[in-house]
Amino acid sequence: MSQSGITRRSFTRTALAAGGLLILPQFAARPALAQPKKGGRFRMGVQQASVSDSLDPARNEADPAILLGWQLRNNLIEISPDGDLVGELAESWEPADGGRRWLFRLRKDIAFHSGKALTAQDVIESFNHHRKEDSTSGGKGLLTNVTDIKADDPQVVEFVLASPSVNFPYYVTDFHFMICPSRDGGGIDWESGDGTGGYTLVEFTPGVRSLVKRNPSYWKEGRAHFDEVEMLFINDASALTNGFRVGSLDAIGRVEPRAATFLERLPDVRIVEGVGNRHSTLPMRVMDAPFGDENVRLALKYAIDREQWRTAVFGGRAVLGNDTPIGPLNKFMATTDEIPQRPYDPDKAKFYLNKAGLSDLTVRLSTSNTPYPGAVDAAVMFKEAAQKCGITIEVDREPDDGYWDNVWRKAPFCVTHWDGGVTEDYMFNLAYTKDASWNETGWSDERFDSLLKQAESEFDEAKRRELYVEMQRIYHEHGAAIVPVFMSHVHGVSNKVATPEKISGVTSFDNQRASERWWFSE
Amino acid sequence: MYLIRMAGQRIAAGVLTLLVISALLFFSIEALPGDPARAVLGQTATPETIAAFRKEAGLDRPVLVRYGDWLASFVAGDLGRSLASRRDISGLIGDRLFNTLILAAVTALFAVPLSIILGVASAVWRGTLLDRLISTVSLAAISVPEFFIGYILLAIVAVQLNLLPSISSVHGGMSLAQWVPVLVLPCLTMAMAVSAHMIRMTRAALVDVMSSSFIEMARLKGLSNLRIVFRHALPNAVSPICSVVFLNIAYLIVGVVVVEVVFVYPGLGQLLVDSVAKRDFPVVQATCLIFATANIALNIISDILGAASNPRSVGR
Repeated sequence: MSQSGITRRSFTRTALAAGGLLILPQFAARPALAQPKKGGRFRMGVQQASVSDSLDPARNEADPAILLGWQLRNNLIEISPDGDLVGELAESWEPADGGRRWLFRLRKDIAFHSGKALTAQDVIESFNHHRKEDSTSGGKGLLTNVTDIKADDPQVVEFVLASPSVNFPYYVTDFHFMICPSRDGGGIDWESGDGTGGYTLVEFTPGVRSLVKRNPSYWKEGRAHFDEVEMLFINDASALTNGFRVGSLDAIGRVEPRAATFLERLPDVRIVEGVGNRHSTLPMRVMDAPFGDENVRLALKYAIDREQWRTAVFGGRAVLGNDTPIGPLNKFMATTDEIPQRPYDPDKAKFYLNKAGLSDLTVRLSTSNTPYPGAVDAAVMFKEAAQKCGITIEVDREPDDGYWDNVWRKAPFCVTHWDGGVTEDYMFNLAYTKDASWNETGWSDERFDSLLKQAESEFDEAKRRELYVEMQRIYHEHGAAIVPVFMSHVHGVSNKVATPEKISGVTSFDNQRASERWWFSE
Repeated sequence: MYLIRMAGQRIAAGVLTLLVISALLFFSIEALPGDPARAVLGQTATPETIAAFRKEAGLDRPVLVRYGDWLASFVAGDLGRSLASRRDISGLIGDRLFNTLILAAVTALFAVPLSIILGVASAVWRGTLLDRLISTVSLAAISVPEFFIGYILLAIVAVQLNLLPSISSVHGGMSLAQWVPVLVLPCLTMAMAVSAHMIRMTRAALVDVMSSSFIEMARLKGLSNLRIVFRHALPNAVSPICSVVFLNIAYLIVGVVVVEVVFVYPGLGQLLVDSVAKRDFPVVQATCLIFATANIALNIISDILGAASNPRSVGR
């Protein structure tokens, strides 16, 4: 099972992170970078591997398949490291009917590795692969709003939606929606690994290794610099770090904070960080006493020392959370002026405890290192901090195997991990509305849900911002999850590897596109 | 004649054991908390996709029916398909079984003769400095878990000295020259784990025989020490030595999971661990049955060799 959670999507808006200061990326001064060089075999060490990894995009779930998928294929749109939407196979896109229909115009003269030309049919079949009746795709849930996909013009694909969605273009950037060649008679050919991407498939042995070589006629300018990319799938963290130290690997991802601190001291390597929306939550299930009481929840929110988590558990490679899932990459993350940062405050914790009519409180917190390495240590730190607030936390260490099945959404209070949301509406719809499939706390609020409906179809950015900030305010005050920190994606790379000035924090490995964005400098 | 009858009985009993093991395995995986559909589809799975998966994989049928179906196709030689990847299990297992067998064979090839020589040496020169040295080293090796030996070797040979690769991720396109360096460390680790046991048992068996009266007789006849050992003592110790050797060869095949993880060696053990995590019972079944077969077969061979080496049982 993939250890790292629930979704791997979110959007880069780091410009908004620092005190709400909006710097438009296109105006930011850029130092002249060395021109990317071509050549070399890039050897990546990749975790989360399993023998059941597959080339089928419907089965995309963990790093190996997604990285390989984007070596071989493209989406309609990708997200730049600055968080902007950039056309891949779609040259342009526009809404119609107030966001009820979306039209994507395809780039001309794009060919698959096999030589077959890209058509609207390939796009339609690639999406229907996830939508069909008996689909087991993890992407199916993202397309429930889509009622039809058609192409009246062979260059334009039209998505018809049940309800208007401003952010629909963000949805097609999801890692499930890679475009594969369609088959005569319906369906797609995913088995061959054919695609329009920067590399062609040489070998893929699930759970062991993959090898691709550069597609000499790649349509994208200035991308895919390596001659070959080899991925070795290594789940064991110390084997991965060792392999990197001795130079058998050029880059590794999902480096544990402790290992990063150690690797940083080595001479030939550097640590590359993608600031992201990955976050830990501590969901309190409102149907289980005492968490139905908002005052108890507030007491716990003030009883956690977020700064200590940030530095001690994540080695400073994290951003403080403010009890909402909207993080530094979201466009509309509330600034600390709009919603002040909640501090560690034993007095306030005691105050809310009193307000709940309690003089002391004992709760059990279920945890394991399955959500992320260090989750158990973090829980123990919470216990120590809460002790000073008159709250006793009994830390229950649960077995790693089966944690998501047996503990998550069953234990009244536990530790979880999310990779963060593609846009605000995505994250809220996934886990925060009344009907959300993954609502892990059982919390709901009518006004919150109706604000979301409004925001989803609001094309005016200023108004949309107001709506989303208000939703964050509601959740910050009344919600049922503690969100202590947003953690960065941490990579180790050899000094021979050059990376762009800023890498994407949407998910690991530059939003899984390191193979086409990075290069060897020597 | 006796040997053939014995082999026949042993093989029949072995097949029966395999059947019992397959049932035990099936129902214990069934009893594990956690659902294959959820384990395979991951956290993004919705109730709808989970239902679709269960239907596609036939998980919606009763347990006994599924076991019956599996058994019927297994007997017919069809290992079935993996629940998680939908690939043919025989294809999934082929390369990995080969890797596991290569590692076991290479290790056995130098660990077995070396252990027997050292065991005999320490029995012959019992009580000398050499005997004590061998005893101490082998006792130390047997007391340390093999993953620890693996990490120590990695830290010294691969990381500090940078003599050998730390990752042994082998694959089909590798030449012999590429295979050798990656095999050294895993083989060395495995050899250290199994040699101690073989040395100790060889020594004990030989010492036991050496204290019997016919050796005393040989000694009184004035035979040389070496002649006593190789002509008289060793042939009588073959049976216990054989059984410990085969026990350890079986261990080389079934007990390598930890070493595979440490060195990232793609063998059967890693496949088993992955498959248990995904609750992929057809693959777990197939892998465990291979392990069980290896164990049972090697035990039968060891029994037969033991019996064959005993003149009394052959003459019967």
